[in-house]
Amino acid sequence: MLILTRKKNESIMLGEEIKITVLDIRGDSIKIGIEAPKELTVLRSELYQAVREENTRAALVKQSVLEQLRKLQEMNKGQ
Amino acid sequence: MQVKTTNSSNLIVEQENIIAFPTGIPGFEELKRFMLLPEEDMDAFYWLQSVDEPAVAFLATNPFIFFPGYSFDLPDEEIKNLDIQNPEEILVVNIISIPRNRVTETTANLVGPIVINTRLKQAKQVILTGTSYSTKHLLFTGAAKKETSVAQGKGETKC
Repeated sequence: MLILTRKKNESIMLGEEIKITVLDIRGDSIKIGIEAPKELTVLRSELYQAVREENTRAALVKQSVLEQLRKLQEMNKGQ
Repeated sequence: MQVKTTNSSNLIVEQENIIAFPTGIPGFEELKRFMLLPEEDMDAFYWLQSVDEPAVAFLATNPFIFFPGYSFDLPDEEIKNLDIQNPEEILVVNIISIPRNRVTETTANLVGPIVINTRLKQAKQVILTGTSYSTKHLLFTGAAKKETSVAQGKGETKC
């Protein structure tokens, strides 16, 4: 991992198109500005991680639960 | 081409039914090709079956059946990435999770819809930002409440 020290209002370039600027520092929170090409998705990493973990759990769903799911769906429709 | 699916039946894959996921699916980044197989007798459910890894299949649902108010803005970058030219060529499904096979606790991931360009057979799990959706939304809210009240010793079933 590359580690750089930056002060408020200083930036980092990732390649030629992505610029990350430290906008504000308050206690243990840092406000970051990101300038990047539109087609690039910018996400908080914990959200990506949550989706990743959910997918891993979802891959464990077995064919055998479908019969139960079908019954439940019918019950639900009947209400 | 034949693929062995999770229910151990062989499935003949037609090239035209393969949906490309150029960036994979988070957690399964190396799997780039899936098929969307409707579950027989269950109009709201599909299997999103990996073509390359037979053991990997996700149960997915049509979100608009269980969550009629579900809506989101597809970010511009995703419209561009998926080369969407017309809203009618979009198909949305959401992956389902069933904790410990307890079907009453079945949830859908509404923050990470699978957005498919049906014209190009290309898709991506889009992660939505700035919404109140999460990775877990109960499909059967009535059923879960009912089971909870029974578990608490209240035998009444009002729903």
